Amino acid sequence: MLKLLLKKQLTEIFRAYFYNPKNNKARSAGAMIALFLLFGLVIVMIGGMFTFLSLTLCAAFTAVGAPWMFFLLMSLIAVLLGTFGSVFNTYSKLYIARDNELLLSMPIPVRDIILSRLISVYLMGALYSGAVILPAVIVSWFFLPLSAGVILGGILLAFLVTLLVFLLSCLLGLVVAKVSVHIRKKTFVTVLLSLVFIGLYYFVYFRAQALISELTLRADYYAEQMKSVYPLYLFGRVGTGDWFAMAVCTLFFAAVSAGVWFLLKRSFFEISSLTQSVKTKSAKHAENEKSPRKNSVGAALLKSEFRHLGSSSMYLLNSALGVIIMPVLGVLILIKGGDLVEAVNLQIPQFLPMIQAVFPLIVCSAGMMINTAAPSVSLEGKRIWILQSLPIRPLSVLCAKGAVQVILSIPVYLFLSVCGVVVFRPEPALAVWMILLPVSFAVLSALSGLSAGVRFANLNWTSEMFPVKQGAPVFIATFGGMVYGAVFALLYLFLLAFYLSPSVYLAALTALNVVGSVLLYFWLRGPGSRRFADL
Amino acid sequence: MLSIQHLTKTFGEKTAVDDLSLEIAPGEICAFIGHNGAGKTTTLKSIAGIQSFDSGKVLIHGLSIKEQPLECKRMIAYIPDNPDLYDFMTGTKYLNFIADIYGVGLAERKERIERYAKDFELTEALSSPVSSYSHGMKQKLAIISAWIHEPKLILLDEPFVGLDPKASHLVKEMMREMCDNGGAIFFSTHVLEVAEKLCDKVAIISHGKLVRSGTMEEVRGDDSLEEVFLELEAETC
Repeated sequence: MLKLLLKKQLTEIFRAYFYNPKNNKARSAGAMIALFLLFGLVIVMIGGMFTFLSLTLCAAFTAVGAPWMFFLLMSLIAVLLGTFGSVFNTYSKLYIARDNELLLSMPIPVRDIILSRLISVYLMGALYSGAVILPAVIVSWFFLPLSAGVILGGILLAFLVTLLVFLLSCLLGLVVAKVSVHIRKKTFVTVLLSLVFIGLYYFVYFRAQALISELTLRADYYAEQMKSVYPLYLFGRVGTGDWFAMAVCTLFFAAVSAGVWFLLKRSFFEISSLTQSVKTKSAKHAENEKSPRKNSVGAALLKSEFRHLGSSSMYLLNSALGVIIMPVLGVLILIKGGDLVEAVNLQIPQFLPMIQAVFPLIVCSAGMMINTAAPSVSLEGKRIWILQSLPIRPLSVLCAKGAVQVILSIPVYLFLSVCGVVVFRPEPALAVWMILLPVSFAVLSALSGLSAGVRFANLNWTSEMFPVKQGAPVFIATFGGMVYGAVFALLYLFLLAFYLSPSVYLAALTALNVVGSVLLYFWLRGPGSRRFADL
Repeated sequence: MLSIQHLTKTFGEKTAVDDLSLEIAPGEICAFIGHNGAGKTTTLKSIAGIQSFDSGKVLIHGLSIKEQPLECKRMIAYIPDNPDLYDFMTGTKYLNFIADIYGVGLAERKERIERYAKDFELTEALSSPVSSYSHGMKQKLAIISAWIHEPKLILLDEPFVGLDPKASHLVKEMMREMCDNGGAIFFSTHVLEVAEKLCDKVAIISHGKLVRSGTMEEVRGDDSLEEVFLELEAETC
């Protein structure tokens, strides 16, 4: 039974490599090879990054006679990366899998269902953590005197790290599942948690260089300090081939694994059935819903689009993250931008007008973090019949979809632009264009994203992840926005700056945006609407 | 109320609906029966204006669905065989969204939502997200949304699938009541007993062609609808 389930699970995991999820057809041999090569390249790049880190840290800690500290540090990094990457994976794979009901209805022991599902959780965690710990172990073999103990210890450490990631992912997944059963604002909580994780990630990322320098400079001090935390010291010793540490840690992890297994087995059935049951809202909320307001067609469509966006954490995080990130960037510019202006004024004052001209283009490129229009058509999926059967013009639907992006982006574009104006202090005419260009681009990007959405709509998907993350419209819109910023910035810096003042250049680009927007609107009104009606 | 004239729809080489003509008058309930893949859903989608067709005409109350789609759609309601609704809305929000689109007044919609929700025993669930609904509950919600703007013509694709006996009975009563008030209903079904008891008219489609249509008595004669249907199927095969 377990073998059958494992086969099904592995087929599901690796299906994307052999079948195109968009049309459900087998990929060609070339496409499969290209996909595997791409995947391999990503792994090599990530692994390469951690190989360099391992070389630095391993040299520092073996020099002070504390290679265990190197293993401990690399293990911690691997655990952080692995757990971060797979915590939500556990929740979705284990508790809200679409075939839970089907499998539970069949004479399959719950134990086998959980085990088969956990395989993919383990693989996902091992993939992330392995990219850190495997290079670390291999690098250590070049620094330590090789023996059977060192080799076995390294292999055991790598396995224990993947096991630790797996156990933590299971426990955190269980917590997420238990919490999600009780909370109502799941999307809000998911977005909030994700933002906290992203914030932490970038905090650590930007501090990483300083931390590594500090660790390598004072390796002996930190090794001595860490030695007092005996369980961590023991864990680090596993990699050095310490037989006692290896035995103790193996026993400890075996015991913890048994405990986690007991917890999962006990809670799986209860949670997976609770996550599927009907939850009624509070009496107050139900009462609020009973007294609605009448809306015009446009308002009803717009509200519906916003509701869709607000209901999906994936949609929000992938298509509207800029609403939070861009104001943060604005504040950062307000805080740090003064130093840049001062430095430029001191070193190359003639460069300031160029920065003033390029800044709005940077705002435009950053604005592609708000990209709700491009996936919105494909997101209709099998529900498209609702809009098509209602007495509304396709253009009204498309306008509502585009309006969501415009409404979300204009305030943040404005804020970021004003921050730039405050910091770079351009002359009044230039200040106006520094604000107007991003605003006109907000409209252009919404319309171009929407046009790509209509032109390359794909309604056949099994998960919203496909239109939101992997759809052609999203790629075209995002990439197009970045290319727009880069091309026009380089064009000015290397050519047009000699002929045009920043004001004239930005005014010309604004006019170009307006013309582009008008053309796209007419396309959406004519061929675009017809195409939408025929989807 | 509904006039289909020489409707033809092809998908590549395959002719899904072949020169189909049919008339449904106000007050009539017409059953549309046929084997799987006969062309029922394609016909219904073409009438509802959500699928283009190659040739022919579909007139609703004298207006062409091709030329005046919005005016036609204001008079009709359509429910597909497996209604995928907006999972991200609650039942109430979904019904209000539909009511907003059709411009149903606040008092009327409130009264209708309350009445139909009570009849379908859906009142409690309306404040829950549609994603938590069972198939039957989604079907009930789709039916309420079809009736909420009091259309003149309702197109239903397999409306009884997933409904409990009580809800099925209620839907039949609602269909009868609507037609008694001058509306018309055109629905596909595989449940021939229901068609026989409920409908004034019947249309049988096979491999895209309308093989028999008329009043129930005309089509059935002295036999049961099942016997007629099986006989026609044997002939066309």
